[in-house]
Amino acid sequence: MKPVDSSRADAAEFRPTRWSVVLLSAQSKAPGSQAALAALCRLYWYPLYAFVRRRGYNPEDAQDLTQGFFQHLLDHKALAQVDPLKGKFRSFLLASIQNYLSKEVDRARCLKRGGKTEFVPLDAKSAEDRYRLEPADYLTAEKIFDARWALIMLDDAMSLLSAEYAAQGKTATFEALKPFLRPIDSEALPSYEQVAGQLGIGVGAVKMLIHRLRKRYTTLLRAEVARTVSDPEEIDEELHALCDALIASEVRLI
Amino acid sequence: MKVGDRRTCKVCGTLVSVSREVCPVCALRAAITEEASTENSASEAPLELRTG
Repeated sequence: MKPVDSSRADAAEFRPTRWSVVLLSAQSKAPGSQAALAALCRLYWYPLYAFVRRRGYNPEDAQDLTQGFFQHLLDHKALAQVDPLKGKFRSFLLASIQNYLSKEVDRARCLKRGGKTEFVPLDAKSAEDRYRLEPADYLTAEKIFDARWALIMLDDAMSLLSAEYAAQGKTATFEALKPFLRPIDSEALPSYEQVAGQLGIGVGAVKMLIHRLRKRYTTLLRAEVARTVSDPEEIDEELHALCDALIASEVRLI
Repeated sequence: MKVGDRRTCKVCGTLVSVSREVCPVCALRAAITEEASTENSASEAPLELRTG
């Protein structure tokens, strides 16, 4: 049985380009740069939508403003002044949407009247269903944005991990081991013996597979974060920031 | 410990939705220490043998 974490090329490394590459490409107006940026936006759009909603806009206006913001980005207008060697995609998006909302609201409303072009296809109903679950209290739009961003990183890494196991026909193994990843309550977990029996392997093998699963998840998570920073040196800093964001959200979102 | 539809992570103390199997704070912290633990896997939280 080939180990999941060593038998495959690191899928995350081949996912869409890192933020710095997108930015450099966009500033040079290279072919494909808009598509690459749109792909990044599509992955991380929900925190933006939630941010706009928390700023007091109704669902329709929030959808239009989010789309308008993406158009603004894809037209390169927000990218021209950014140093590709500095900054995180999360921070860039947050600062940009704040600036956009303060200066471009009228323009966005004109877009709404003019025809509802979708620059980054979004699932508006799903977004609003999710937003209704956000705590309607004192959390600021910025706190919601950062915490949602953190959860997207975690969930995307989990989806990749699941897909890797599925690609090797090991979905049952993944499902059996997943509760051991970073358990909230280890006392609620099945015993190793139970999992070993379920998978038809020894207890030692179960422990080894759990170790590999954990290691692969953290690798994928770091790879996801790497896609949003300009320099690998910033990965740990961003992970700390995401961790702080979840804690700062006063655990209302997780 | 359960608080409404959330429960407390026994490792970090974070309140987490019951819908989540993985503690997000622990997951992020593990990723922060991942590189440091690459050469010394013992730094990762050990799994205690569970006998049922």
